[in-house]
This record gives sequence, structure tokens and C-alpha cells, in this order.
Amino acid sequence: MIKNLNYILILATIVILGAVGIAFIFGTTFSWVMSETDGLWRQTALYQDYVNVMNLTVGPMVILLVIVLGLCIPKRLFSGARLLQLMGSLTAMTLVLSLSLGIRLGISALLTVAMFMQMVVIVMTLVGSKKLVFEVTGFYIQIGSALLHMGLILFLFDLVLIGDALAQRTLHLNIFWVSTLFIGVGMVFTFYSDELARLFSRGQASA
Amino acid sequence: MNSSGYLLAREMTTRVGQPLIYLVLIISIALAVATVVPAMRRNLRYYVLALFLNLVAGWLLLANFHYRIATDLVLIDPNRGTIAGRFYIPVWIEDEKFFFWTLILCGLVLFSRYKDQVWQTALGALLAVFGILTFFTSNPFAEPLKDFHAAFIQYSMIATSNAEPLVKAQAYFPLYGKMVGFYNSEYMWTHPPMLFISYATFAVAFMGGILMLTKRDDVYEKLGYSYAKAGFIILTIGMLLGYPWALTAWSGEPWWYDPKINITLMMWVAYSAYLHARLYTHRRGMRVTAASLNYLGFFGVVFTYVSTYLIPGIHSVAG
Repeated sequence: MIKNLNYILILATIVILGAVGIAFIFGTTFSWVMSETDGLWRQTALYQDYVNVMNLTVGPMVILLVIVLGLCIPKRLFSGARLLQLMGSLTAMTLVLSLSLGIRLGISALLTVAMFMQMVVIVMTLVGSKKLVFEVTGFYIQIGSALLHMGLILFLFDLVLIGDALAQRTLHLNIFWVSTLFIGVGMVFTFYSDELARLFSRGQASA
Repeated sequence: MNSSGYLLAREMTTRVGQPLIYLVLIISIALAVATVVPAMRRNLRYYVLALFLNLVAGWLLLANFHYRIATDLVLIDPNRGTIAGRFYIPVWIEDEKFFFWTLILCGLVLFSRYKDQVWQTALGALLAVFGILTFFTSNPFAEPLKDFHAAFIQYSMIATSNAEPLVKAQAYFPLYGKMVGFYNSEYMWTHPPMLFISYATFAVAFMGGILMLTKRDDVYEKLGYSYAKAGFIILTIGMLLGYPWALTAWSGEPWWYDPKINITLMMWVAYSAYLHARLYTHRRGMRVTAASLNYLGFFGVVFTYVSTYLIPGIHSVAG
């Protein structure tokens, strides 16, 4: 089941990313046309309208991406019916909180739960726990995937909940740098797991 | 300030650089011919090597010019009469951008470990296109750092004249802002080169995708993927490094959803989707999906670069 679930989540990610890409192409084309029509359009109210439309278009897709990312996390710790129950509960929690307290808090709650779960995944991967459910084998690809996902969660959490308001700019940037580090190291470990395994002779990695 | 030394260095850069860029054109044409004439194909690597040496020589010449800028030019605070700073400009701005991209691509082609003739010929053809485009669209020697030069000369003329202090301040502050936030920014030293290095790796990955399609051989797809994943790491880190820069440099300005940023994000999501799709190429339809996303990603790379000159915006030189 885990393989099909992974495949479905990957397909969902590709479809959402594709839709985001199309939205950005639309945004670029619109900006281009507007710039040709009125060189100073960014100083007009029309620009704010454009930003609002883009937010309305891209926002839901980013939220969907966050949900897919959030759902990717528990699959490392649980499987079978318990995984489906947990995924359902997380989706329900996000929806209820989003509808009652706002999307920002709903998403932040999902990201907070995902962050704690991911911390557990990282610790368990580091100690070599056999209880984790990974489709791939090998220490470097597993820790790389765990760090990469942690970096993405942190980045989104930082963007959604903390933002770049001047009063919290330092905190925002500090978390940003930590997330960048996680994403960078995670990517290197994930994409070059075989090479790293050969280099340090720790575990056999294969996708 | 020793602006005469700077002017001499600029003139020398043009005088030595112009023959070099003509050599780039000649070697690139020879390389293009070698990719289609079988008798010349065995010398392909020598053309690539010659092009690489030529590009390195040109880049070192530009680096020397930038060094002279850093040592010879100073910005004087008109109120205090003290030195406000020097210009430490990296060698990948203005017309140097595409030159740098071509240099990196040439290095990747030269040091490619896969010696298969089809692969080398395809990369040679790609490199020839880049070399010719460099000559016709992005010659960094004709007028070295044209925009910087114009801005500094204008400031310098006013600073050394008998103009009112207010006029001197009006000439000083915009250039000072640009020196601190643009030319000398630590992000200028990290964000653009990482993007250009990733663009070069994506160009090679794109050729891998094309060969997979035309030659129906998985080895090219794997080669393309090996470059795409390296490029994706560098692109992601490079893009992330642009974020804190944008927060400080464009504070208070509407930079979110700027055309260039839109199209860069489109490129990133295309490559991200490609790398996700590639995990499941054994499933029906996913191979074609992955290949299409690779092509779309490279279209994004080209459009991202061109949009800087085409579409007006905060991250653009157009309009």
C-alpha cells in the first residue's frame, strides 16, 4: 500500500506544481502585457489587483502543496489503517482550524504537527531505527529525505506564520537560514546518497 | 581617485578583449562545423579546449578590469569629504552574464566524463550555439560595464565640479545605494553565479533529454538526470539566497509576483516536478511526463534569462 500511496502523493505533487507553474506563466504574461500598455502600472491600483488575483490563484495551490507535504510526513512513522486514520485526522484538523480560525492558523497547526513528527523521524533515522517506513533503503537517502522535508516545513512555517514584518525580521531570517541549511544538506544527501555511502562506507543506498 | 588608471584599464580590456571575442566566434563556428562534418569530429575536443582557454583568458581579463575598479575608483562622501567606499564588483554583471554562463557550460562539456561520440557531438553543437550567441548578443569587451561606467562618470563629473552641495549629494546617494546594496552585496557574489552555474547544468540536462528522445537510449536520460539534479541543488540554494537580498534591497517595493520572479519560480517548479516524476519512470506515461517536464524546465531557463531584457519589472533591465 505504501508504494501506491507514495505514487499518489508524488502524482498530486506534480499536478499541483504544474498548476502553480501555469499560474506563474499567466502572471508573467499579464505583467508583460500591462507593462507594454502602461509603463508605470506597478504604481497604480491595478498592480494591487493583480497581486490579489495571483494570491487567490496561487494561495490555494500552495495550501494544497503544504497539505500534501504534511501528509508525506506521517507515512514514515505509520502504515496501513493507522496511517490513513492519521492522515484523515490531520486533514480534518487543518480544515476545521482553517474554517474557524483562519487559513493561516490552520496551515500553521498542520506544519507544527508535521515538524514534530519530522523531528522524531530525523532522530529515529540517526539512531538507525528499523521501525521507520521508507520506500528507499540506505542511511544517506533516508536522512537526506528527512532533512529536506524538515527544511521545507521550516521554510513554509517561517513564511506562513512569522512572515517578514520588520519587528520579527531577525527571527524570520534566522529560521530561513536554518531551513536553507536543511534543504541544501538534505538535497545533497538525497541526490548523492550512493556516492556518499561509497565514500563513508555506511549503508547501501538504492532508490 | 585614480580614474585615469581606471580608464586605461577599460581601454586595455576592450583592445585585448575584442580579438578574444572574435576568436570565440571563429572557434564556435569551427565547432559547429565539426559537429556536422564527420572528418572533423575527431578533433572536437580540441575545439572545445581552445574555446575554454579563450573564454578563461577573456574572463581573467575582465577580472583584471574589475580589480582595477576596486583599487582605482572610490566614492567620496560629499558632506564629509571622506572615502565612502570602493566598488567590489563580481565578474558576472551586465554583458558579462551570458559570457559567464558560456564559460561554465564550456567547462562542463570539456570535463564531461562520458566520452561517447554522440554525447560529445551534441554538447559540442550546444556549446557552439552558446559561443555564437555570446558574440552577437553579449560581448562584454565592446563597452566593458557600460551601465556602471556611465553612472560613475556622471557622478565623477559632478563630484569634481563646483556644483552646489545638494547637486553633489544627488549624484552621490543613488550610486552609494547601488554600491552597498547591489555591486558590493555579498548576495551579488553568491546568488547570480549559482543561478548561472545551474543554467549551464540544465542546458546539458536538456541535451540529455533530446538525445533520449532521438536516439531512444536510456543512457542519455540518465546523463541528463545527473546534471539536472546537480543543477537543481545549486538553483534552489541560489534562489533561496536571493530571498534575504530581496527583503533588504526591495524593502517597501512590490517585488512579489514580479515577472522575472514568476518565471524563475515556474522554472523551479518544472524541475521540481521533473525530479519527482523521474522517481517513477517505470510507471506507464511517467517517462514521457518526466521528459516533457525537463524540456519545459529548460524553456523556463531560457525565458527566465531573456525576460530580464524583455519584460519590464523590478528584477529587469528592460524598459
